[in-house]
Amino acid sequence: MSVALGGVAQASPAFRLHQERRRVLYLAKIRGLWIALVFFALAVVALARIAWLGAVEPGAQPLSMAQRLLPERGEIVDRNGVPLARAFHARALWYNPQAIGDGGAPLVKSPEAVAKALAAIFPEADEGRLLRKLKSGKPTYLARRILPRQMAKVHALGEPALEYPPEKERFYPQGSLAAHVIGFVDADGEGKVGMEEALQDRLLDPAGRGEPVALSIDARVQGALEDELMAGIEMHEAIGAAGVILDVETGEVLALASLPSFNPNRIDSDGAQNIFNRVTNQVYELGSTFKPLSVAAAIEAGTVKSLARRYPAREPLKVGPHRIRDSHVIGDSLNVPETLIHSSNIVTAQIADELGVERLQKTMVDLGMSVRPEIELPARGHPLFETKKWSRIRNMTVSYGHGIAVTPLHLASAYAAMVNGGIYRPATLMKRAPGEYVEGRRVFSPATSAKMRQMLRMIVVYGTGRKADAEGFRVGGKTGSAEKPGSGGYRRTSLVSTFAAAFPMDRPRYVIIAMFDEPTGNASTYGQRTAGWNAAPAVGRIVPRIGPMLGVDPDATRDIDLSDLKPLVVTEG
Amino acid sequence: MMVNRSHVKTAGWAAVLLGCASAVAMLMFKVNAVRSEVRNAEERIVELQRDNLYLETEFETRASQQQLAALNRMEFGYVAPGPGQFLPNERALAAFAEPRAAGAPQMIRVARGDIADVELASFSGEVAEAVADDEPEAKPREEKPTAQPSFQRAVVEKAEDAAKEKAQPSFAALFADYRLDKEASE
Repeated sequence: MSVALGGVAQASPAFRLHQERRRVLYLAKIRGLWIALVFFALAVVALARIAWLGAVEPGAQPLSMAQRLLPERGEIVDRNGVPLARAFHARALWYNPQAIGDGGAPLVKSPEAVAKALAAIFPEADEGRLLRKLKSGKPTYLARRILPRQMAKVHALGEPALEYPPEKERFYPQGSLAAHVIGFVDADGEGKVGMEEALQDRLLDPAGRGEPVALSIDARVQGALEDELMAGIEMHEAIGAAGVILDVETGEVLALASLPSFNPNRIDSDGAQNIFNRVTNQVYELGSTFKPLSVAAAIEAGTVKSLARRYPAREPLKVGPHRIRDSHVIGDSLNVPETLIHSSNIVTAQIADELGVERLQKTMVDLGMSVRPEIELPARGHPLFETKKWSRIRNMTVSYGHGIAVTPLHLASAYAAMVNGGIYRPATLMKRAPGEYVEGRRVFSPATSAKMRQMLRMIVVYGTGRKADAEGFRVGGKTGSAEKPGSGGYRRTSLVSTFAAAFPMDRPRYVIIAMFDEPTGNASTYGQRTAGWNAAPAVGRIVPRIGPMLGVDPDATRDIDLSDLKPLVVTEG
Repeated sequence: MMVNRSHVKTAGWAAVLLGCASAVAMLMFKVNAVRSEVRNAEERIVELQRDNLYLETEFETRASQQQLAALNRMEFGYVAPGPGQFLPNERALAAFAEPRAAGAPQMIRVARGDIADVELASFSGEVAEAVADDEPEAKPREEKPTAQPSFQRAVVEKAEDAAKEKAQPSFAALFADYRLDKEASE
């Protein structure tokens, strides 16, 4: 036994080799087993992943027809469904000199022949420019947004280097019409300036972008407003113009124009300078257009009990070191309708003084003059409104539109409240559904509103707004011509002329504000540059164009009853 | 013998199975073919919708408010309608009516009658005649003189007069004139 043990202990080399071989084999089997286990684990993981993908994670589903027809960005339409902004797949004409790829000439025909053929297909293109591009040998756009029939004609040329890749476009079919309302989309797909910015999330929401967003704008009314304002700019050589048309009952903005405008389809340096919105972002001292608001506040408060009461008007009003004067002596005394008809600062200041600071300031706050205009647009200017208690002189100057600067939209909303029965409602650019009612807040009583309607109509019939009296439309309104502030006081040569109007005054439905920035006098206006010579005639041209579109037909047999106030007014002739 | 029968039975089942598999395969091919057609049709619809959108946008662009205003300024010079072009109410509309002149043609009236007894199916000519024949005693409706002039009648009369005045020559007359002209030119 001991011999045997001694034999084991003294193992032969062959035995040790055998043992070593067994150990190596065992090690190899273990390693093989580990590798198999690793592969097995990988297989299990892969199978589990496949099962997960198949059972839990949704795979890449092919897009349904409805999904493919869904626009990348929702469409914006006007209140009648006219598209104002839409996304669509357009084709561009792209020159790819590497298309043939044999290292030879990029074009089958000569560049001259191809340029001539392309110029025939695209009449607006410059043949020389096309030829330079074709000869340059560099890939470049030859045309953007080509039409299907143009694409077919290019295809018929048989030039492989002329390609027409599909491109996603945001297009504004009406061009610069209502550009400040709509805005534009930048290269990153972000909406800028107008409703494109305000409605950014809604326009991109997959659940809602299939349905177009209807604005309150009426493209026809917008077109007429812009057309007439642009004609006014040219006629009176103004540096700009602004206009807004508002539904007095709902606050819907039918048209909003800031001129000069820009083309959202192509924002260049000239267009970029005009992006600023004069209607909602620029504040102005709107002058005498504030007088009816002050008079309405006085009637509402009871400080003006009789419209026949006469106020002294000959001498300038002295308030401390300040003097309030009229542009010319109107008469020894004036009653309330005459004050508005002849636009007397002296009498309006007296009425405001009697009314008191608190009540006029509260009326202005109630009319939304102390805060930014209430509308969906991102560009809304802060009014220059003294929030602490006004001084006596500020109260008097505010009554005729100085010492307070607001946007034209502020004025439009205030006039809507004054003529609609006394309810202030915020303006909106979203189309309201039929029957959708906005509560608003009462600022004036219906009786005050009725008196103001009469007096606004009298201003147009007998006063400074005569040139706005479109026959049969019963227009009422007030002119305002304010000097623009500059360094060292007001600049006598720079006016902002405004006409704030409503029609038809027997049952007001729409408010119109037309404003010209720095109009000049010329032969057609006998050198005059006040609102009665530029803004009022513009309204007189706009109303007949838009009235029938908005369901207000001209009727020369109807008008608001002025019989009780007519004897108070001394009319010429 | 049993083995043979079993083989035949197995072969039969295999044939049935093969037939069913073939039918299923055929059906699958057919379904896939239809599905492909549907997919192609959808592709076509999407393309056409996009083309439609594109062309509609082109039309909207060419007919934009600014283009129309410019066109009106250059070509037509239309102006906004005045109050004289609108009628405020029905009374103003009725004021256009004139009394019927002596000897004026009969006014055209919309046919009236009691159709309670006439079935819906009787709106064909034959049935209407049959119904008329069944009532030989029925007197033709006498036209009652109207107390006041009717706007509708005045319009109809004017239209008839205008039609008489503007009566177009017949084709034969036109052709004769054409021949005369042609002969004269030759």
